[in-house]
Amino acid sequence: MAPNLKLVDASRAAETVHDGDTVYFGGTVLDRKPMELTRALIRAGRRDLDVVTFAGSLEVELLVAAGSVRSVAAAYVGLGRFGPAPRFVAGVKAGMFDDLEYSEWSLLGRLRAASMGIPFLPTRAGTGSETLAIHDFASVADPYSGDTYVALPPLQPDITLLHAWRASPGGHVQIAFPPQHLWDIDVLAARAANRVIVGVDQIVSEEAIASIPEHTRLFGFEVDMVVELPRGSWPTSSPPEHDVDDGAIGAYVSSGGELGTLNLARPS
Amino acid sequence: MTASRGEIADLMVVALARMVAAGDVVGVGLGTPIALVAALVARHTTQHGVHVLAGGALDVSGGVEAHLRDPRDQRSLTPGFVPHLDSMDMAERQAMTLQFLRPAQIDRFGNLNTSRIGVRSAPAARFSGGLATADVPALLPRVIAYHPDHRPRSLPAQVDWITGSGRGWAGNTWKAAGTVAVVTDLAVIEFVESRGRVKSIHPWSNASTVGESTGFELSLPEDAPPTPEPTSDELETLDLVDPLRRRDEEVPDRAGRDGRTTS
Repeated sequence: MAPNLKLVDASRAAETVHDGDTVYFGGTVLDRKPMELTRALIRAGRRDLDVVTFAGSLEVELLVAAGSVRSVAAAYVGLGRFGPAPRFVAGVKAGMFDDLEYSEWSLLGRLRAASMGIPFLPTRAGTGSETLAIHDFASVADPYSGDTYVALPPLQPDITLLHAWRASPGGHVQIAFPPQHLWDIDVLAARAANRVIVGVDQIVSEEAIASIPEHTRLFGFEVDMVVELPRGSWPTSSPPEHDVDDGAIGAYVSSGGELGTLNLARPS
Repeated sequence: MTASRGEIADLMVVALARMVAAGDVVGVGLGTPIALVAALVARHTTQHGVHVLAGGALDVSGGVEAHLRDPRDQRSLTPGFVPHLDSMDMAERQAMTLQFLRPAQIDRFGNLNTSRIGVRSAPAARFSGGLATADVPALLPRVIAYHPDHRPRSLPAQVDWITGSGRGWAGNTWKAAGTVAVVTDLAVIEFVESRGRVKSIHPWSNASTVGESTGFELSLPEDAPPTPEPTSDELETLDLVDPLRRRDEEVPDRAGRDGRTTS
């Protein structure tokens, strides 16, 4: 028995990500962002990453600042109630990386196709949109009605990075309940990916996981590595451990994008 | 005649809320307080079972502030939480029927831009992104836009970038009307056959201001009626659902322009 099989530290996790990989960053806007795993990628000097995230924020800012980004594929990049993401916007305007904007459905539909193991997902969503045209999706005729649909191909990230509440050494991952809005996208992105690394506020025993099984949202066989990272999503939230650090994000915005402490390990 | 920021927000909200029909299930996106307040006002003032799905929870009681709470603090305020992928499916199968969208630009086709100004490789402006703006006009039976800063740049002849097509979707299996109307700080405009038609003009504005502030040709009847002001019932409901006036945050503070003096 090897109970610690999946438990590694952040630098070991970062070693398994390669230059040029397609990396999905979990969390949405200011919630559950895998900040400490992002910092580990930056410390490891990863470059040319194809960044994918449903709704990106500070993790994109750090990666852009570090020059680690080849493209950003997202339905949103911003700081929520704190406004635009200054480094992302400046990087797009300067042509520093490819701005692969997605619509919500087209990004999540592609992840769904990957997680379902199907060749494409037909949808009406995004019909006529120039944002969809960026991706050059094919269309498909419904063999029953003859109607034409957008055919979303699967998107399988090389790796998905998440931050969650707690996990066991065996890789069972639990989240707070009731869950935050948009929590299920993290699970989807994990199940779509080739490999999954989850940072958690707490590593707990298998018995502790089994004591509240209704909180389990990813199973050990779906997770490749777990990393104990208390406050690893700081300054974004991690329920039930802590809320968004408004002061830290406010300082970042008012300084016009000075990374300051955001680039460093989280405060305890 | 001038209007305060609060008067503009109030009239925009009630104009949107009045377009909600019996049985509508209204989806509300992130960071759009006017959309949220309008949906909540419609739910409170309509007797016909309007439902509001916002922030992953259905029919949260307690107004805007309750919607901003952590889900753990919404116990006893909502019948339940809706996973996001479930809400996507509700839209695709039209169990969700309406959404209010707030674009940076909207044109005479009802096309919506929430993405960028200029070319993609080197834009002059890049907004935070459209989330479902591209998607819902082709999914839901209808979408209604709003824009609190009516000027030619916001309502141009053609949007810089079509994030969401106003055209909707028509086939043998489904029909989606696309963008049916836009409520601005000056007027209510309906989109009929790729043309904007002024339905009503807000009390502080007039036909020539609306025309000069719009980048495309409008069908603008000389006798376009004034947008009815909020009733006392509607004002009471506004106070109930948004006592801290979060709805005002979306209206630009822009003193002394076009008779829309704000304070």
